[in-house]
Amino acid sequence: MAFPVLVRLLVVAVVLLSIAAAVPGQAQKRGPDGAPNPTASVVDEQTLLKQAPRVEGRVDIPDPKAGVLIEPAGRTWQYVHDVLLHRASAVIILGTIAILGLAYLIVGQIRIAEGRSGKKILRFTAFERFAHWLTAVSFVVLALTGLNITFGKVLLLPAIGPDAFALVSQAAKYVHDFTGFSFAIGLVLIVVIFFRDNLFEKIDLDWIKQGGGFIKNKHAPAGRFNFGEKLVFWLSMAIGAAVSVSGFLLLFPVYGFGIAGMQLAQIVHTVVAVLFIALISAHIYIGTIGMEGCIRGHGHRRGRSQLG
Amino acid sequence: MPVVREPAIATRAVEYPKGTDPIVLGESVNTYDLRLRSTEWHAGPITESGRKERTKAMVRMKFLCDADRCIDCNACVTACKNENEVPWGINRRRVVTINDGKPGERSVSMACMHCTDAPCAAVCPVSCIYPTEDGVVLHSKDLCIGCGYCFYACPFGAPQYPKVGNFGSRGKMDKCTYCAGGGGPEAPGSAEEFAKYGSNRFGEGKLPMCAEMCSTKSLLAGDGEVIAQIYKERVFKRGYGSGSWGWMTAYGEAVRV
Repeated sequence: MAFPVLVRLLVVAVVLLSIAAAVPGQAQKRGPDGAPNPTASVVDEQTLLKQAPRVEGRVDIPDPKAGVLIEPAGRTWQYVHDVLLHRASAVIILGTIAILGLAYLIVGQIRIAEGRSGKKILRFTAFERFAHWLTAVSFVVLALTGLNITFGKVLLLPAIGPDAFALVSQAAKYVHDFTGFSFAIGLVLIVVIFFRDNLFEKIDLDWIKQGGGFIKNKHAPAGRFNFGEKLVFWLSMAIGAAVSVSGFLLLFPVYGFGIAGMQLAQIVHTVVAVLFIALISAHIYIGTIGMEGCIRGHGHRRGRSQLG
Repeated sequence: MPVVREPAIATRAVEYPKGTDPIVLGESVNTYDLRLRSTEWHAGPITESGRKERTKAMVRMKFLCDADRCIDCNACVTACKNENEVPWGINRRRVVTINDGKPGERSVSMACMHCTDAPCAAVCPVSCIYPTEDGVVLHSKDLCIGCGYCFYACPFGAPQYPKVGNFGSRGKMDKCTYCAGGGGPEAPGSAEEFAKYGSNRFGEGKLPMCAEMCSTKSLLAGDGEVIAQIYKERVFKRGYGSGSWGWMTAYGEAVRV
């Protein structure tokens, strides 16, 4: 009876002693007069912010992200978003449109060399065309609603007033959020369907050597897709994956990721989306007014016959 | 500590007897500020002429938490929730304890700091956030689309949403209004305004409930110059102070002590 009690007492004593041994390292510092000095190890904001990008602590409310007290990077993100990204986006998008306009003025529409043969060859199956248009329509909707949230405040708000603009933007936001899913599905379909045909082959080297037929105005050799098409495919897939992943992060905030993560996701989303808009503008240009007969392959059951 | 500018000693001296500890006179400071304000307390977005007018005669409302006095009692958090009847899951104010359990532990009560050149207002894609003539940052829940940008931009984690991550439908942003009602079209002090934004004590000539409630008068609310002066005097008397938390980030200047 007495022995277990003694053991327990010993354990308690050892524990207490070990705590006591550990404490002096953190003991309260004292002033010259022996009184506790309340400022001896006081923390201050600027010191903490030099050690880490944010001041964090314990918070009583059951919301871990509320434990971040100050995170000055918000102001930096605001500058990057409002100044750098807005300017760069405007330059890239307007620049692409200008270059394409110039290309049309100089080169004009590239004609089918020997005219239409009158024969039609099935180039894309109905399902392939569906996958393309699902992605394409989603993309245009996402681009317009995305541009609204970026430039709407400057372009649309002064024109229609704050109430109407808020209504439009609210709708645009929901449309943007949901269209992201159809876009991602379309993207996955395109990858699955066209993956094999877009692998680089030896014939692509010949295509590059002949400058894609642009230089000697000769029909350059290619598989199902030429090198240029393959390039657009892989760029679109890479950019599409980046824009989707960052978009879903913004849609389903992962708070373990923190506000810094959200800021990064937003910047990636904007940069990649703007590059995507530029790339697809060129893609749309070549698919419509840039190349004769190209658009016919997109809707009709039978596609083009002569075009490389 | 990098200090940009020392706030000038309030030209409108705080009305308390000389030599009296200003600590117990928080109330007199508060009411003093409010007498200075125009009766048209809420005149919408600040104009250029309004800005000039304000720098001349108006006050600039700020919060200052004296971390050496904060005892982490969370009364400000509770007072805010009760006064404004904020939605579940939202805490407009919170107390964060730094170096918890270690020497040099300090607790800081934090909410929206009503920043100068508020980053939330700048990034808002529908421009629904704006500063009033008193320097209080308000927003309109009618215009808010719940995009989350203000939440990414805020250095203090103030903007919050009643719904989180449900296909991006966050709901309308909610944050501290300095107990000054809302930035929407609702009449100041109306039931509609209360339901959307909470209390409008400010319109009644009162300061935010959190600061008025603070048992140790750690949390100060009022004109920036006045509360900075109170803090300076405290630090001068007791000989220490851990600084004006968040001021550098919010207002571009810390209170030099």
